[in-house]
Order: sequence, then C-alpha cells, then structure tokens
Amino acid sequence: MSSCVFILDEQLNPLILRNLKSIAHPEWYALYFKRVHPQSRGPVIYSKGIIYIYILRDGLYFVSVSNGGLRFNLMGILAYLNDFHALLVKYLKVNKVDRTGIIDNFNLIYELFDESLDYGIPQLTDYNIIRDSIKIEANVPKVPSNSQADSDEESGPEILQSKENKDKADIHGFRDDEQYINSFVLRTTTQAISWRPKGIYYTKNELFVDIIERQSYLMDFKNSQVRQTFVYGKINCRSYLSGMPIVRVCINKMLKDKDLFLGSSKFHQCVSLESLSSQDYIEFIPPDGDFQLCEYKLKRHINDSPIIKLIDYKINERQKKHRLHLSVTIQPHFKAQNSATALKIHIPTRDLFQNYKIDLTKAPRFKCDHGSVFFNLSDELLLWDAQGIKGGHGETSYSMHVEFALFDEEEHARKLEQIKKSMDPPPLREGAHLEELYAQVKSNKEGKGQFQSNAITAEFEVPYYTSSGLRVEYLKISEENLKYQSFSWVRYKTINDTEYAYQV
Amino acid sequence: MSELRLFSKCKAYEIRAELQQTNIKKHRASATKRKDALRKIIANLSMGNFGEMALLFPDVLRFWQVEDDLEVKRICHHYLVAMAPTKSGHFATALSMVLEDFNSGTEAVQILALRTLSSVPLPAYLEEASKCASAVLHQHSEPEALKKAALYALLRLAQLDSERSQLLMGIVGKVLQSAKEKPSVRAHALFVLYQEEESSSETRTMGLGRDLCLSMLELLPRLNEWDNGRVLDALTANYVPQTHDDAHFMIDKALPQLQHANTSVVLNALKLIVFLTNYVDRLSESIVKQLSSSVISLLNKPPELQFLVLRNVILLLLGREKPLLKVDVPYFFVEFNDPIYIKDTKLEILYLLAKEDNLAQIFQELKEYATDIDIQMSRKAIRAVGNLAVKLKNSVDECINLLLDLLDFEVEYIVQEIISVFKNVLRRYPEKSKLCLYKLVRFTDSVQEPESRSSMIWIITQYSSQLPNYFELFEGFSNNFLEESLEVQFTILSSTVKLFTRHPTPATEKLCINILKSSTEKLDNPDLRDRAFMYWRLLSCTQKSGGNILTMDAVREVVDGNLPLITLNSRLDPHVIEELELSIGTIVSIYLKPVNQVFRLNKPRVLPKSPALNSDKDNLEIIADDTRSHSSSFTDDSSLASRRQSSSPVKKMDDYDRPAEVVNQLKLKRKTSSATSLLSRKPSVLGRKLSMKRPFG
Repeated sequence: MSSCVFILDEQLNPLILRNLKSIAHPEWYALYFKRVHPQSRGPVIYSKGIIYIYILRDGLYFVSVSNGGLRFNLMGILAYLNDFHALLVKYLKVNKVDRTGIIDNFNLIYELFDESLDYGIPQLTDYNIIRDSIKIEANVPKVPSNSQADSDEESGPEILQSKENKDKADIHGFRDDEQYINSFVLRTTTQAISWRPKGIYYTKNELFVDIIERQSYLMDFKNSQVRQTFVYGKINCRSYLSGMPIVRVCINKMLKDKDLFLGSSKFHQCVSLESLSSQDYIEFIPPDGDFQLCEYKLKRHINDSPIIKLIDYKINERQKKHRLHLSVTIQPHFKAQNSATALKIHIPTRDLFQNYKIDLTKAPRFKCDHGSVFFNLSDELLLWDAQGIKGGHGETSYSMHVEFALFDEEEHARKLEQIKKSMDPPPLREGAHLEELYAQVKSNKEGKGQFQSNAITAEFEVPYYTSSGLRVEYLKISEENLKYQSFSWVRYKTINDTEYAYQV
Repeated sequence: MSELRLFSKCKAYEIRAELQQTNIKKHRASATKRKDALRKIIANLSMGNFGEMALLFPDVLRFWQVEDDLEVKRICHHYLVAMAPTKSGHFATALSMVLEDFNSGTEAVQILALRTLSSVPLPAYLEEASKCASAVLHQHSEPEALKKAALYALLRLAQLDSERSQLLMGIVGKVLQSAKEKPSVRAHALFVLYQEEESSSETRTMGLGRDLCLSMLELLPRLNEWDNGRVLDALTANYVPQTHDDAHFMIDKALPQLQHANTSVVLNALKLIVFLTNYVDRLSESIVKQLSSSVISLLNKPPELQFLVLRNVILLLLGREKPLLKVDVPYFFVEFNDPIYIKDTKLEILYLLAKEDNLAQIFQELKEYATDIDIQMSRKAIRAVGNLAVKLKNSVDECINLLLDLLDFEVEYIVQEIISVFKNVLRRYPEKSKLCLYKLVRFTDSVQEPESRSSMIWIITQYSSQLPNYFELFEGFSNNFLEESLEVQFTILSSTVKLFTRHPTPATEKLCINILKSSTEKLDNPDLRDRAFMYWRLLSCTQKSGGNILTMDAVREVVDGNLPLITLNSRLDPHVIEELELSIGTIVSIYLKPVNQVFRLNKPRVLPKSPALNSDKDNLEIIADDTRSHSSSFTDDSSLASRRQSSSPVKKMDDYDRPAEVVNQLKLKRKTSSATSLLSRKPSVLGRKLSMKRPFG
C-alpha cells in the first residue's frame, strides 16, 4: 500500500506527485528521496520509517512511498510500477517515455494513477480495459505517419494495429464502424471475467496469433565453445472476436514435453492456469485487441545449430602479394523453402587494423555469394547484408571475401622517389580517400576510449519458422451463443536476440 | 500542443484571474480555458507549490457547482485531497458538494466522492465516509467498483481511528463471509481485513476458517491478476492447515499460479507455498521443480523485479538443509550489463550455491569477475573466493591456486584484496602456508590499504619462523608506525609483542620497546595507549627485576596462544529463517534481517501451531515420483477424471479438433497427385456431371 507516488526526472525533481493517503507535505518525501537515493543499492530503500520503492526507466524514476508498517508486501507495488510504466508507454504510443512526454500528459497520468490504484493498492493495469474508462487522447508530438489516424476521434486502438491489419481494415472498410459500435459497449471491470466486456461485436471474426522467437547465442569461435543458447518466445495475439469466445490453442510442445514447457512459460491472466496441467491445450477467453498470451524461455541443446551458423572465419596474409584476405562463411539452419527476410552480419575490423598495416589508399575488394558487402569505416566493421538467403540444414553455405591491400614499403619508396624525380604533379585519385577518413575517425575516437568487442554479430529475421520447433497444432474458437464463423491466422517468426554473437 | 506552458510555477492571483475572466461566458472556448486553468493548479501542486494554491480554494469550489464534466470533477477532487493537510475552513462548505456527488448516481463520480470523503482526515468527513461506505456495502445491487471503494474507505477509517476498527471490520467480515457477493468484492474484503490486522500493533492472526480459505482458493481463477496476488498473500499464515491433507490441497491449488505472467502473483504464490511446506509430511519433487523453474523464468524480467526474485532465492537457499529450489548455477552468472545491485545479489547466490560438484564452474566464473573492469565487482569476487575457501574445506587448494594466479596480474587493487583475504584463509588452514607465503611476501611494498597492510603484518608475524628475513619485512611497516592508521597501529603493536615473545633477540627487544614507547608517549589514542601499557606490564613481569612472576613461556601463551578456528556458516538461525519466510516480500526479507533486530518494538513472527506442523524442517522428505495420488483423495479424483476426458484430443477420430497440420498435408498430397492422375480422375468428374444432369434431363 503506497501512501504516495511520484514520477521524478533525472535530477530527481518531481514531475508527477500523487498523494494517495493525504499525508502532509508529500514534496518533502521527494526531497528526502534525493538524499537517500545515492547510497542505495537496489530498488528498495528503507530510511527512518519510510519505504521507497522505485524503478528507473529511461532516466525517469517511478517512486512509491509508503510509511505504513514494515510488514507490508512490496512485491505487488514493485510489479505494479513496472506494469504502470508499460501501460504508460502504450498510452502515449511512444517507445520511450521522457520528461516532456510526462509533462505534456500530466493530467492523463493522474487519471491513470487514479484508475489503476485504489488507495495505493494496485487494481488493474491492463491497457485494453483502462482505455475504455479513460479516453483522453495522449498528447504526443505528431508524426506525419499517423496523422491520418489522428483525424479520426475513435481511432485510439486503431493506431496500434500493425500495418498489415490496417490495410485489411481499409479494404473491408467496416472496421471504423465496429470501433464505433464497440465504444458504446458497457465496459466495466465488474464481472467474473474482468478482462473482457460483454457485447463486443465484429462482422468479421478474426484472431491473429504471432509466434515470435528471439534466439540468443553466444559462442567463443576460437575455442569452439558455446557459451549460451536460448530461445525467448512470445505468443502475441490480437483478437477481433464477438461475444464471449473460448479459444483453445494446442501447441506441439505441450503434447510432447509438457512439464518442461509449462515450467518455462508464463501466461496471460486470461488463461485458466488450473486447467493447464490436466489438459493438453491452452484454453482462454481472449481480451479484446492486443495481448501477450504467453512468454517462454527454452534452453537449446549445445549441439543444436543456431539459425545462422558461422562455420569459417579466416584471415590470410599473403606476404608476397601484399594482400590480406578475410573470409567468412555462414550456414543457414532453417527450412530450405524459406528465406531470411533480413540478414545482416557485422564483422569487426578493429583488430585487423591493429594487427596489420593495411593500406587504404588502395581500395579493398569485396566478393560474396549472396547480397552485398559494405565497409563501415566509422564503426570499424564490415557489414554483409545477405537479405533473402535460402534456408537449409547444413547443405548450403554462403561465404564472403574481402581483400585489403597491405602496406608495401618498397612500392611506397619507389613512388616517393618517382614523385621526387618527375616534374609531373602526383596522379589524381578518384573515389573516396579512405585513409584520410580513417585517420579522421581514429582521431575522433582516441579521446573516448570506447569499449568494443571483437565479436561477429548477426541480425536476422526468418519468417514461418520457430527455432524451438514450436508449432500450433490446432486452434479452435467457439462461441456458445453466436456460433459464428471465425478466421484464425497463425504466423511464426524467428529473430535474433541482442545477444547473438561469435567471439573471434 | 505541448503542455509545458501549464507546467510552470504560478502565483495564485494569476490563475484566479484566468478563472474569473472566463467565468461569465459559458461557451465552449471558455470551458477549455477554465480547464486549462484548473490543470495549471494540478501542475503547481505537482511541483509542490502548495502555499499559493491553497489560496484558490473558494474559486475551485465555485467551479465545482458549475461544471459537470468528469475531468473537472476529477481535478476538483484531486485538489481537495491534496489540500487535506491544510484543514482549511472551506472544507465545511466542500462537504456538501462531495455528498452531492456521492448521491449523483454516476458510478465514477460516486467512487471519487467516496475516496475523497475517506481521504480528508476531518471528523465530519470521516463520519460521512463511514455512513456512506456502510450504506453501499449493505446493498447488494451496488456496482462492484463502488463496493471496492467502500471497502477501502472502511480500511482507511479503521486505520485512522483504531477504536472503531472492530466495528468497521465487522462489516467487512460480513462481506467476506457472504457467498452471494461477487468474487472480487470478497477478495478485496479479505485483503482489507488482512491489512487491518497487519497494521494493528498486536500480533494476532485473522484465523480464517477452513471452508472460507478453501473457497477463496477456488475463486482464484475468476479474479483479476492483482486480486490474485493479494488473496495469495492474505491467505499466507492466516489459515493454518490442521492436517497434512489440507496443506497438500492448498499447495495444489496455489501451484498453477506460478505460471502467471504477473510477477507479483508468482511471488505471492511462492510465499504461500513456502509457508505451506511447513505443514506437509512430504513434498513431491515435481513441486520443487515447478518452484525452481518458475523462479528461473522470472529472471528475464526487468532488473528491479529480478532483484526481488533473487532476494527470495537467497532466502530459500539459506533456509533449509535440503533447499526448496534446485537451480543450475549458470543462471546466476553475472552479466556485464546487470545493475550493480543485481551483480551483488548474484554473487551472494553463487557463494551460497557453491558445493563440491559445481565448484570448478563457479571458480571459473569468479575468476572472470575478479579481472572485471569494475573494481567493486572484482574486489567482491575475490572476497567470495576467500570466503569459499574458508567455507568448503575441500576447495582450499583450488582457491589458493586461483588467488595466487590472480596475484600474478599485479594489479594494485587485486593485490590489496587478495592479501586481505589471505589472512582468513591462512588462519583457517595454517598448514597451507608453505604454498603461498613467499609469493605473498613479495608484495610487502605494494600493500596500501589499512586492511591489507594489517593483514600482511599479521601474516609476517604469524609465519615468522618460516621467513628468514621476517625482521626486515616487519621493519618496513613498523618504521612509519606513527603515520599509520589506527587499525594498522593496533596490529603492529600486538605483532611486535608477539614477535618479541617468539624470538627474544636484542633487535626485536629494541623494536618492541620503541613501539611501546611511541604508542604510549607519542600517540594520543587512549585505547592504543592502554593496550600498549597492558603489554608493557605483562612483559615487565617476566623481567628478573620485577620479581619474575611469569615466565617467558607463560607470556607467549598469553600473547601468541592457539587461535580458535574460524568457520563460516551460511545458515541462519532457524527461528530467524522462520520469521523471514513468513514475511517474504516485505523489506524484512529483502534486507534479510529479522524485524526485532532492526526495529526493537516489533515482535517476531512465528509459525502458528497446528497438529500438522513439521517440527523438523530439514527432514522433510522430497519424493521423486508424483505423490499427488497420496496427498488428498478428492483433488486426485477430479484431476484424474478431467485428464481422462481430455487425454490428447488429437488421436480421437470423432474429435473435430483435428490438428491443422495434418489437414494441410492432405491437401498438399492431393495437389501433387492431381498432376499425375489427371487422366484417371477425368472420367469420374465426367460421371458426376452426368449424374447431376440426370434429374434435369
């Protein structure tokens, strides 16, 4: 139970200050927080009978103050602050809530606090429900892209829809009407099923299920040692279903190794958790609109190949020709009929430049089996954009070669000599002067002393494929009263985690 | 439109001017202007400009009556609550307006009014609040949200006025008991009772009945996520299972909640289950597995939530001989981008998890941390290695080797830390001194910090017999005795005496006298002086002239006797553990300090007695197979039955839920076969066309 909640900016000055228990002088608590915060470790601070619980997001502090007993259970509050931040992000429709975002919407934020907290006790933080009772439009700087949506008053949820659905809505042209109808539906949280109001209606009943897996993989390529291999999965749903439908989703993982899957997954509140252990499917009454049905984290076996596997990384120095040859070979591991919609491989060149004397006056040469190679001088990396490579399981591999010229002292001396002797001006060079750029970049960086790893990283996106092999076996939507025909769409996608790297 | 312009400190008269200027006309433009002015008040309240804003009370009241916009109402109520501490005279007039709002019939406004009534600590308001709230609760037809607000209003009243709390809680109790109420209202009633009992000074439990408790558990799936968490929390320790079966049943009910996406539900379920494990006769391994995996899967939440989870892990690991969690070590390896408090906690967990079988892994990891860029981290890692050496006897050699390896880096702070740590290691295992003594002594000149200096001095003195050049080494420290910090001075003083008693040579004698003289005459710390005098007298007793009361051996016995063995015990007192487990999720368990240690007045909590209580927690059996069949007869039947009904819907032919994949395959097959059997199919198509035509023809 918190007595008061704050949102503080980076300097710990209050932006939002909601006094929940009419304590005297709440601003003093904010001042005192300023004092105790520096010595703190962790998100809970206890000092002189005051318990501060805070989270730090994008430089803003979300603080709850409570001066009740020591026995009060702060787990709920901490989780609430986290969820509240997520709610705010959704409301403001931004990726990052910042100081101006808070100030511009302070009235909205007060209402959100009022709605989500009752006497300092978290009540609900579900965006889909709250947006029915608080209809204030977020005051955000307008981006041209959604100006069309802004012109429409009822378009709050519309903006959230992905592009694909937006197109769909335009085609059918009835989505707006539905929004209009559904905005009059009596929406209260006072039902057995608190996340779904009664009387929702859509002419076309659809359920979109997106299964997105992020693969994290860390490997020490030199010692061929796998450090980490995980799959973080999310099942995101978007429902446009009328009435009170019951959805059953059967996932192949639940048929095979149920305990393992259940042990590593967390479900949305709409899933009846009790039935999970006795049934082979996930049964739920979906909330309206977007929600995350489930998230899971699965371990993979060390010998399982990652989606993009590095099989070769070589640096060859040819002394005689004064060339340095670098080659990278990768092997895709996903269904052969699919292709990666995005694939970018970053190869760091910092070590290369440190260990060899590379002559940038001669342009480096690039060659690759697929896509194109870019040389990013300022970030000191080679970018191999191999978008659209086909899948396979070890049969195919793609490689990329780069050749740098090494500094040739003899030649250099000869040239200098020539220039000295001849009366002609030195020959004109065409194209970019890489060595000058490099020197410039180098001098800029010197002061900072940045820490950069020498790891080959990959960014990819592979559709129609889950690296864990998870699949929806069947999906059934049933509505007792309306008995409508419904459409369900299931999509799979695997993308890279931020931790996907080969250390070389 | 940026609202930055609203967000600046204003004087009261500025806003008043704005309010009045638009007061006369009542069309739309002025309405938005008025709203802006009101918003400005709220913005100023946020910035703590209370004094100025208090002057606007009458103006705000005037608007209250005029406007019926919900947003304006909200702002007015907000203003009223924010002004509550001032206890201004205007509250009397405001009361009637609040009451009017309460009787307005609109749910949202009613809730606002009720909240305001109970939030303004004036007798008149509180009186009205209790009247309104009990009126709401007595009627069955009132909406749920309003009832919730009423329940909380009663809680607030009870906390403000403890004399009436008995009466008010009686009303809440009735709500809780009545089965006709909606689940979430009952959940709130339970929570309100729980809160009231927590905040009261006496340590009594609510003493819920068995039926009530079980029915609340049954309600869980029908509740909102936050309510779920609260019910689980409220049930902990408030109903004491009387039989093992009860406890098993409750655990079974709480287990599914571990799967919830909301962290607070999971942690509260964990809390309840940990409490209940005190009342069972055995635990099945699947429960342990489920607990562990749910804890692990919480570790990819944001750092603040991770922190909560990790603190709980520590507690559960500390608690028992056979811990309730079985977790793999690598989950707790520190990541470079963890905030410092997570790093600390993870290090602590690694230290607790260390056992013979995973030691190699942990050492490898600790070694990496020790060479981390983060100095704090590397110091802590070295500390942990040293402590592990003391904790686990079989690991000493590895620890020492690791520390000596690290010493080779010759990084200043690493050396400091290792020397400090070695004191304890060598004290615990004197026999290992040969291995490392010479290497350590090489760094005599580089130790800077008081702790490592005194540690080095101690090492030199203790193993002087193995060091031929101990005297020179020691002199290096004693020569600037006067400049040392107090801690080092103490060590030098006692070490010189120790050295002298061990090796009574003229040189040590001279040094000893020097030090004693300096500490009694030149330095003015009374403790140091006293200790020096004590040593001096002790030594002079052995002198011939002093009557020779004591022999040199006797003095040596006193000064340089056998040191008691040090041990490190990572386990806490069982009573403390018991209390901490009961208060999972409060600051008590986060700081891992029992209440009465920090706050004297609080009484410690104990597990309530019950025939089912396990007196010996360490012997709680964890059974490999699923024991649910033993646990409670009635749950078992139901779960089996449901399992039978729904066992793999895929296999049954009569089930229409055929897997989508299979259907698609059939389609595909047809397509591929159609090309080859195009000819053969043609006649049949023809035949069908013919047969269709027949009725017409």
